[in-house]
Amino acid sequence: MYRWIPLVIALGLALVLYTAIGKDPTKLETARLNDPVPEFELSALLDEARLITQEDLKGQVILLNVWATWCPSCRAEHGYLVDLANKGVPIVGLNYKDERPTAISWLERLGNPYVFNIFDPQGELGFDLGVYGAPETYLIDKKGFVRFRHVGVVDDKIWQNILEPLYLKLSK
Amino acid sequence: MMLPELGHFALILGLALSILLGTLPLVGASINSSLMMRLAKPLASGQFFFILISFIVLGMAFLQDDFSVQYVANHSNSLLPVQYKISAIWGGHEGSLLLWALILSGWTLAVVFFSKSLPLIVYARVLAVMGLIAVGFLFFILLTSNPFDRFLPQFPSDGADLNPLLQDFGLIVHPPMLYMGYVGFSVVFAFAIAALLGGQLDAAWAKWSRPWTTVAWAFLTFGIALGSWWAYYELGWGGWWFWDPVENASFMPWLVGAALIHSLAATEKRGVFKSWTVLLAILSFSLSLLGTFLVRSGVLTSVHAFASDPARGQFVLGLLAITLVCSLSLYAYKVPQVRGRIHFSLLSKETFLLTNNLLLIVAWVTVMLGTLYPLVLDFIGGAKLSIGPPYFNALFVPLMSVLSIMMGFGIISRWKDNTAAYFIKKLRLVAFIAVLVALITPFVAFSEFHFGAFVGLFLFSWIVLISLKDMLDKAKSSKGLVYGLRRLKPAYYGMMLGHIGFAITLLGVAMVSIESDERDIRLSVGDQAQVQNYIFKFESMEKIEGPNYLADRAYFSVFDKDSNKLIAALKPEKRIYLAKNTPMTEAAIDPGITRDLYVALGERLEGGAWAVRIQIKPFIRWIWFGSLIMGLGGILAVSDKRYRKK
Amino acid sequence: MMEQSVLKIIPLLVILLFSAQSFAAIDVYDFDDEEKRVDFVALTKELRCPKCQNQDIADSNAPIAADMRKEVHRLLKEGKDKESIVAYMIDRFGEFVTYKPKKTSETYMLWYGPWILIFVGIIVILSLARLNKKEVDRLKPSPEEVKSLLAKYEDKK
Repeated sequence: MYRWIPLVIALGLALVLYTAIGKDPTKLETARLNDPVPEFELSALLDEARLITQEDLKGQVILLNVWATWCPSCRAEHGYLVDLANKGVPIVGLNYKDERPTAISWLERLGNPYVFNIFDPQGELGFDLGVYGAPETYLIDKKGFVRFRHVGVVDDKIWQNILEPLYLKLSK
Repeated sequence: MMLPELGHFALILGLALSILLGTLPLVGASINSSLMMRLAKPLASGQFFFILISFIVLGMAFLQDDFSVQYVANHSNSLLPVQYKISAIWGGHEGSLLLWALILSGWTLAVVFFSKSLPLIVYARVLAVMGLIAVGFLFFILLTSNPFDRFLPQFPSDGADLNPLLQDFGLIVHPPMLYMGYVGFSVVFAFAIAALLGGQLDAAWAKWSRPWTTVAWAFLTFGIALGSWWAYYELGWGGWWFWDPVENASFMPWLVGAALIHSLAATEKRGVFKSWTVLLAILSFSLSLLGTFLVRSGVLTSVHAFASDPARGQFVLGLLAITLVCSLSLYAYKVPQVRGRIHFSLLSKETFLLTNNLLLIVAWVTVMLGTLYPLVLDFIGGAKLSIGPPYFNALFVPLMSVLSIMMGFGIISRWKDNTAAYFIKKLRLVAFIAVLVALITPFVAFSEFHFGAFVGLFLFSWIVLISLKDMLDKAKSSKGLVYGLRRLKPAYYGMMLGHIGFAITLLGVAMVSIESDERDIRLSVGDQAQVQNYIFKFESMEKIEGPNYLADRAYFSVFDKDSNKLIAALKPEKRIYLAKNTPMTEAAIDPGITRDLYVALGERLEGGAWAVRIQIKPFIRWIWFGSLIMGLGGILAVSDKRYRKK
Repeated sequence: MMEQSVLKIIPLLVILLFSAQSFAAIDVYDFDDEEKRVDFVALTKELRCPKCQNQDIADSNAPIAADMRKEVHRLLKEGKDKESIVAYMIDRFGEFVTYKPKKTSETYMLWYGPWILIFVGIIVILSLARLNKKEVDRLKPSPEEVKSLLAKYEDKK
């Protein structure tokens, strides 16, 4: 009876390996899931004098989009974000490890979908959120809690299948 | 420029012959057709011939800078030095698979030539199984990984260049050695399957398989050691083992292969553990296949992994699954027919060999768990985990320590029965000396007690002294010691070297892991830094031009702190490879028997200073030297006349 | 052709795969005491770079790894111990970021499996050897049997 054990174990292992194919082994879980947005105090991108804190992210369901001018994928998703903003979806930007003048002229050139932009030149808020590569987009609920994080470009498919349903649910 | 197509065509012919090799002799064996069974020899020869042609054609494409061949364009460049153009053949996925297939057909041919005394029916079955394995791999190559695909009609004027990290002696030797090992386990696998098919798992199958297993294991030892050495001097951070999934993929068959060598010895000499040995043979080769899967499927992240492709992953998994299902079903089905009567007591050599197997198998399970557990957790929906050196080292250190102690007992034990008094008598002096050595040496070297160094030195002395004592005991003869020593067979000396080599490696690992020193220091030209008893002086900086790169080269002089004698002149470099502007660091190493001095350049900092990493690595060469001795022990054992007699 | 440009990306990807470690990440951090420096080396070897192909943050030159090293240095200077620094990183990046998995019910098999296996193996080996001692004893002739056998032998002579 013991003689069949190796075969059974092998089949189990083959199954595990089969399901692992195609998955992205570098994708991290969202450590801050269901945590409040970490405390921060950073200036707004366009208005240096204006200070933004985590309180400014409360009150409505928002998308927090982590972006930078040096990030080619951010450039790729920018157009879609402008579309979403025009549809009325509130998007707050987190300008990550960037240079203020470059970022400002970028937005002037390509359009500004953001309600406001947090300027995070050292990546402090990014680090506390667990950002490990731009672009990333967080769903923050009305009370300022992180409810979801998408790593990578936001396009139509991602919005319709993943983000929008949750956005609508949280907005109720 | 029809030449690449020739290579493709040769591969197809090779596949055709493999299919015949995999089927005709097998059928012949079951219907007892001598003619069909004898076909194995010409078919195996033909298979090798065509795969060799294919390999040579690919090599020619590299040498002639034929960038219409995609694989050549992706891995070569007109400026690439010629030796790297050749080794670039196996620098990427497709070509390395072709090397795999070539080596497999080479081993198959070797079995043809070295198995004159095998009964025809076994001979036919063994070669047929190897033919079937070749079928799997050739289909894999032709269907998903063809190195002869072309860019037509427009092809690049020059290639993308071989990755600078691979432009090194290491690439020339490491993969071929590794594959000789991986693929070599297919021979003992084939023998196991043939034995199961014939229902005869007696001492004979163990005797036939032993030399093949030992040689494969020796090559794998060389391959892994070369990889470790290469990583050390090439990667710029002084590490020699990272428990990376790809490294683990080669270490697992090594561990099980070592268990298999010991188990085969018991089966051959005493007729015991028959079904267990067969299982180990199946497991060793399956782990080779698993390694091939892990490295090319993309399921695990690794700095060593080839660019991954789910389709390829599925194909290799399919090969692995078919191999496992067929061999393990055959095993489960046939094993009840094999029942040995085991007569041995608790303190017998048999028990110690079982203990060896237990510890090596648990070591393998540890590596397997550490490598695949994240996948299993992901499968059942658990957290995303990382498992790395802290886990492996925590488990491996105690396991290897116990193994080393047991090794001493195992070496001097005799078959069937021993008394406790026998062991005490043989070992008490050795134990005493080993403890002394382990206590005194650190005091002399460091003037203080280091527990880790003590353990490493004790285990090293324990194994070496027992090996020597056993040799002297066995060489006792009435005609004097020298006569007795010459009477001992190469197989015995091979075993002795294997164990001593292991001890040397163990000591190297212990010392490097515990006593290394590493500093990251900011230095400008003219500065100096002191690490332990060495003064590192940054003399100057120079810009130089290589064959396909530009570099900043630093000149360091290393002095002894007390005597102010010049010990070494080191020249670490920071290179930019021109083809794709790839940066790379070349560490400068002063090798030594008791320590390596290691200097690597990091970033250029403000003010014209550089970040420099300086390391002192004690006994690190012992790791690879010990591995060399282990592998040579294996080769020596196989040169024994009793394997050549027939 | 699409195929061509896609294939051209592959060598770039391969190079990118390697470029993360093609030059060692060597920053220079100063420490007040040796113990903190040793802790720094240990921590940077134990923490994993979230963005790399399986590297610790000591050897990676990815920007996030550099950020993490900076934070580790800052926290060590503040006097935090190793466990809390690792916890700090896990809060932000998840369990993925430590190479030493926590010992939870999920990881019992991982940490204790090998020891359980050894225990089982020892029992198996002991029972095999004991079985055999019994058999060897059983097959051994008793003193009377030996006497009678010898007597028979003498008779035959």
